[in-house]
Amino acid sequence: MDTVLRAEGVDLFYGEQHAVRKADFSLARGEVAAIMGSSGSGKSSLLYCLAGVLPPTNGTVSFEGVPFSTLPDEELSALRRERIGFVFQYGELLSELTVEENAALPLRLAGIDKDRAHVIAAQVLRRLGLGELLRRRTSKLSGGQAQRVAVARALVHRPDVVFADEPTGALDSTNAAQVLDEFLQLARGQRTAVVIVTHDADVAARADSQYTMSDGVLAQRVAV
Amino acid sequence: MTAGSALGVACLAAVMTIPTIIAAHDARTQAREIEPGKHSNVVFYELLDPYGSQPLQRTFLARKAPGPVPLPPGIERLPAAGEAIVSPKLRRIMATSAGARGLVPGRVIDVIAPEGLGGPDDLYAYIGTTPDRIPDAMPLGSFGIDHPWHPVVEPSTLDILRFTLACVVLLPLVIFLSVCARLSGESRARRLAALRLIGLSIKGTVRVNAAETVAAAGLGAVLGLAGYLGANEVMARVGLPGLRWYPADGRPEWSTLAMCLVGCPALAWGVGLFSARRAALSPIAVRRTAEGRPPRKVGALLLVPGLGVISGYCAMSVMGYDPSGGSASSTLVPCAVLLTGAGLVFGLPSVTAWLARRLAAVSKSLPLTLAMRRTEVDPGSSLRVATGLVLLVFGASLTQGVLIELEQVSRRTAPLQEYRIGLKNLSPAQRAAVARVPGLRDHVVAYESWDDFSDEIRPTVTAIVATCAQLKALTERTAGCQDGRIQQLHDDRAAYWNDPAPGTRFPFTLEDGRKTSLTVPPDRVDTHPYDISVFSSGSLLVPPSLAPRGLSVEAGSMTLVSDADTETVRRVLDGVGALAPTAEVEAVGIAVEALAQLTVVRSLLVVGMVLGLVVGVAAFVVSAADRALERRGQVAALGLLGARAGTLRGVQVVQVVVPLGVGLGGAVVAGWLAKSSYLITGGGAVHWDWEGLPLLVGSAVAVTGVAAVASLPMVRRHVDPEHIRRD
Repeated sequence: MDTVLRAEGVDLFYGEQHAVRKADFSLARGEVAAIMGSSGSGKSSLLYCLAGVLPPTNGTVSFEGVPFSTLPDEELSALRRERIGFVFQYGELLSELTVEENAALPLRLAGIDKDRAHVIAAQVLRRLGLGELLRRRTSKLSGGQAQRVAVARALVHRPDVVFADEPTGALDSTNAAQVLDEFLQLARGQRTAVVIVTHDADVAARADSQYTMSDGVLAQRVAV
Repeated sequence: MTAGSALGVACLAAVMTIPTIIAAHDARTQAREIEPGKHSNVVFYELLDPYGSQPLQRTFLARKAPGPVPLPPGIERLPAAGEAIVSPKLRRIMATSAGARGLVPGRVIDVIAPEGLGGPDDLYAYIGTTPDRIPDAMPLGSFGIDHPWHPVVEPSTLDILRFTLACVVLLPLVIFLSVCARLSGESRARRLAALRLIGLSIKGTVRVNAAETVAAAGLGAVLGLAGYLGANEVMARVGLPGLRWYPADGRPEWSTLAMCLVGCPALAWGVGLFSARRAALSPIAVRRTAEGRPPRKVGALLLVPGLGVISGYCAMSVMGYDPSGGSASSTLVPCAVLLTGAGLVFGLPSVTAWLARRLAAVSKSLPLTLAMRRTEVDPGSSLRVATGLVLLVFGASLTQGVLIELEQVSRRTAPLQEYRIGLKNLSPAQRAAVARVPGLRDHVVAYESWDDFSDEIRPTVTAIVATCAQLKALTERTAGCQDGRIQQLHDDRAAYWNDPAPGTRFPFTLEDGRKTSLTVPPDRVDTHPYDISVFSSGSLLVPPSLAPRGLSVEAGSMTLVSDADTETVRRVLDGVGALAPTAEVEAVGIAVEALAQLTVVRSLLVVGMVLGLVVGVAAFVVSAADRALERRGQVAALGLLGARAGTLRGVQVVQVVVPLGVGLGGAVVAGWLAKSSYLITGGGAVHWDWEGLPLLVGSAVAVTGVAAVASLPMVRRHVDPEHIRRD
């Protein structure tokens, strides 16, 4: 297996609070992994450790064999910009930008020309059924539409890994299922690995591998 | 809220105490003014001369008979002949300047105490002398009058000053306090809404808010007053150009204290009430945010008539027309200025939104696009505060115009300065010595023709004893002058000609009381004298060789001429004062008290501008910080997507710079045009103030720079994912 992301013995403390305890994790290229757990179990903290946003107190997180801790901030930012994508629970779209401009953001951040970035973003958005809404401001979208734009933004630059923190947590069940379908279909189509943090067992069931998290302890669920 | 309230109250106390300082100064000068009497054993003679731009008052006192005498405040006894009592500052000047020592003949026996001085910088002297040295003296009645003769600032100017300070300081201050109160209220609104949702009544919710707001603003007000009192102690010792005061003068009155301690919390409560009521009445809505409405374009239309009128006057001046005077101008210009100011304020959001939309569409730069998109959808939030700064710059421009007008009536703009001294006040030896005072270029003597001062209006003429070379050197332009003959001066620019006709004979008094006469010749010398000058149109230029012998000194005057720079003027006045201390010297065209007032007004306006700038920039930074906090979730998301720190900083800076730059740029241009139209229609010689423009542009650039730099710390390099998690 071609491992793209690996965590070994990761500990994370917030002051006295031990949020993540000796977590080991690995993710292959194109694999979809789900981390389940209740609120406050430490799953989001682990996600941001895996994404290189929060430096672990102990242990190592490596991307394609290179530990994040050896990378200077500029290179870490460049890695997130070019090789990693994010989907947040509430989208966190820029309300003043149009759908197309939001989706094109990672490409623009990577230095791609405005016109070309918009062409690529429009292609992804059309695949997600948002072709009619390219010029609309995201403040005028429904929750499901906004989350699709967030998915497009996460995948538009064909990252190696997408981290999704409760990607359907703010949607109703019908919309949630549709958005998740489209998200995973698009990710698998371009062999992008995905780490989903969720408390929804239905969402986790769509993953290739499942983990549970409780009181900061990560455990892999073995399919029976 | 506390910090904002403290800064605001300190500025408010400073502005409100300015009239108190001026009133305390005037009360003391009023108490030392002399009321002439009829029967007195002391006579007095007052001289008021410019010492630089500051008035130097010398009061000569001479005892005619023994007996009790009234005393002015600040001294324990009147100086005897040969003694002097001077103000502390004059004493310091006398210690280092021989010229100044000559102005005060006699031995300095004491200094005037503070109660006898307007302020620590007063130049004042009581000089003891004998009655024969002051022939024009009057009997001394008492000290102290009802109305001040020499106020720090004329009441009419003080009203203008109050209004200007109110505009440049209080307006931004109210905006700033409102912003602080609103932000403070907004930060509590979600919590208040939550309290309301769990059962707190509307009244209870409003009360909780009121208590929190008033406590924070009240604490700030106390801190602000304490800060102001400390600053007053320092500033009273340092002083401002033209104005120094005693620390007690600058302590706030009860009304000021009440305004600060009650007004500020009341304003905070009033503004906070709005958000509290919203939270109390619709707690659900508070916990959601809605997109703002686009700005209305109607406000910008006010600029059309305003700028139209102002530009029209400017264009007329450029084309060589003189639109000054007339009742239409005195109505049109103020109306146009008001319309332009209002147009700037109300039109700024729509103009900024339009510009932001255009820039975002054409820009290939990501930071610029992001910043302009944000500005396009929400131009009002930062502009509420930018408006205060825009008004400040617009007001500053107009203030420069007012100062120029004031200066034009207070000081001549010619490169030469004339000083007139009555010949009767100078002995022949003094005349010869005065003519050699360092700094002088030349001197001439002039005599007025005889006038019996009856009710019948009798034409008179001035005979100036001078050569053609002198005339040429002391006027702007001279043509047709011939030595060796009497000629009449003619100025074709004179407002009205009253040149006596050739052949008219004018009698001149001789020392022995007889008369001699001069006849107006047909020869004329075309000349352009500097405004105001002894070489006025209609006067006779008499070569020294043809001047009648023995003309009466009673009708004669000596005119000294020097360069007009302040240092030379001071040197000449010191020199003349040292040679003839009791001779009255008229520095032609210099209104010394107006100059002193101008210095004070300028200082106070500068203080106002600085306070306004401080408040304005603080308000802008607070507002920008609020926006940054509001958007920190989205900024954190951008950081997680890998946005470079430079990109985020660029977005923040451009968001600050564009609305502020547009507003301040517009204010500088509109303000300069408004100032020019005011100067053009004011009738003064200066129509275009190019010198003031760099100061305004520099201030605008500095304000923009400070605001941009101050906004940078809001963009943190560290990405905190907690910012994108919701409660």
